[in-house]
Amino acid sequence: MMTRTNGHVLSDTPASEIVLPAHDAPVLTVFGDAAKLDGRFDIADSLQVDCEVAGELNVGGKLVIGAKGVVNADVHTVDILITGRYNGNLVATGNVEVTRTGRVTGRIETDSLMIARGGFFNGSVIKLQAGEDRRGLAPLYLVERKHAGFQS
Amino acid sequence: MNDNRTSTQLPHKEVAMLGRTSLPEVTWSPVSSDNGKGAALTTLLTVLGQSARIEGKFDITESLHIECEVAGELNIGGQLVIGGKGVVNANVHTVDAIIRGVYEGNMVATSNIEITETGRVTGNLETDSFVIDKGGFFNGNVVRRTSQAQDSARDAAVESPRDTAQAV
Repeated sequence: MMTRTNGHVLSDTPASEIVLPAHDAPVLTVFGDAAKLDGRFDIADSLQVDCEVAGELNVGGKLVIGAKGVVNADVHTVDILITGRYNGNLVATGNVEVTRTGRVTGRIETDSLMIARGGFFNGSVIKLQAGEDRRGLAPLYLVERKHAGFQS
Repeated sequence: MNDNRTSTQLPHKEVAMLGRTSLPEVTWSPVSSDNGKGAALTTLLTVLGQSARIEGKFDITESLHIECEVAGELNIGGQLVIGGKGVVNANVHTVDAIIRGVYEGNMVATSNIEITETGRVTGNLETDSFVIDKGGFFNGNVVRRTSQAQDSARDAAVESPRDTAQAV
């Protein structure tokens, strides 16, 4: 359960060492000291957040909330790694990992949840129902589950 | 597309990459496209993948590079770069803007707006300095900023004559 199909072992890696898979070029990059983004994000692959994000996120790959990230949103994703703050309703068809710096409040729907020692979680966890992950953004997930090597 | 790039005096060397059909090793450096004023900036948010669609309100202190679909409202304290694959349908407040992709909306730029040879812009622009490279497309109105015109007066090095905006 701890090993992703691409061989990357999930652990409480410091945010500075987290490297998203480099097979794709960035399609959107925000630079600066601070940023606040509010809205609806539909992302086919991955997203790394080190700023404030609110709203609704649909991620077809992996969402990484960096140590400086503050995400206050409803999230549908495959994998999620939380080293910063997250608050909201989360549905993850893959793995959820909260590192020792992660602080999570809300409702998590997943089959795989890991909280490292020191990580903070306040809320409820619900096992993902069979087929439930197909609701909503079905086409995106179906493509991306294959892309991520997800075994259904 | 116009290949006669030398005559258009492209100010940023990345523009030469625009003819790419497959993505090279992209090293997006905000510094090199920042008119020399930028220091190393922290990356706050990165979206990877083939495509993304983002809609909402963005407040960003420094800069933003877009190669996907973005809609809504953008407030940017530095430079907005709409890349060759970027499609932006938003109201924008920024300092500088470089448009190599598609932009539609109302834009206020306190410094420069530049439309490169691949840029396509529809809408209303309010700025002091407006450059359209050969091949660039613009449909809309340009209003010269008057209230803070002195802001850019010190930018004596601005390449474009101000009157270009009215002539387009």
